[in-house]
Amino acid sequence: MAKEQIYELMVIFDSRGDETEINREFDVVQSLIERHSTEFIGRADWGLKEFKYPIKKRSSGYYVYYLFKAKTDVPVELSHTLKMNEKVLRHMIIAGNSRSASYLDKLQSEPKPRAEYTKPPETTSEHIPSENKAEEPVEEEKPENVPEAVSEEPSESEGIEEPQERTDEKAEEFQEEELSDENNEKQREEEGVE
Amino acid sequence: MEKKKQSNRKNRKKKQEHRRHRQCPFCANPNIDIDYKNIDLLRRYVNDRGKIVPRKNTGVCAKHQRRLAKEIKRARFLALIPYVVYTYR
Repeated sequence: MAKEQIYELMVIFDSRGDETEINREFDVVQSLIERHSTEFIGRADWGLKEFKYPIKKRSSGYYVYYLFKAKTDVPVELSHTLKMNEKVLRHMIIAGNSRSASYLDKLQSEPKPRAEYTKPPETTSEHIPSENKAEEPVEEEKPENVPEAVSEEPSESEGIEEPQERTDEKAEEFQEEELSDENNEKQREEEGVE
Repeated sequence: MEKKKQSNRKNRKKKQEHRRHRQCPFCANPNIDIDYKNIDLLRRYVNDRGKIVPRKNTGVCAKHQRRLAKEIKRARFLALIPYVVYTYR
């Protein structure tokens, strides 16, 4: 009789392809574990994450964490079947302990705010609607601002007139100064001639 | 020359005594979970080149350094932490 033990399985799925297909693959692996194990404890999806180094020429993948109780000969069979799966980029099975069970409880109570990594080709399609959304509120605001602008117009026109008057005054002052300068110059010339 | 040698030995002894006072952070707080999933913790014990920092520098005890090294290697395998960080000149 083989002994029973808690096992942790971390699987990195290929991010290429539709998300629905990838999500289906998560369930396929889960059903595989449920078939082999004596007790399936839980699962945690980490979502799409960027690799720190490329794995099979890919820069990102979906991380899924499984926790289960099984007999000691099960991990070998599991790893063999996972190796055959093309969607699985990499996997790791390790013997768990009492703390690994508490990890899932922690996640449920306090879900970590993960930095979501988005695929480069998909981001272009996602950005277009976001830009449109950003434009919509601006368009809505414009009609609201129009009556305010109209109400402000008279005050602005009054404000504009004042500087005009000032300019006129200044222009007159300038003219006077110029005239006075010309007179002075004439006087100096006359004095010089004499 | 003899006097110089003696003074160096004294300094060494002083340094060694000073180092001994640091306590292992994991022994001080047993609730800290050394795990490959706890990447923020592991990053503290890896230098900017991606190398595991010796316990002489961090003050971790031998028992916990062994566990740290194991978990760092697991995290590296899953591409959560880099094996090597290249710095180009």
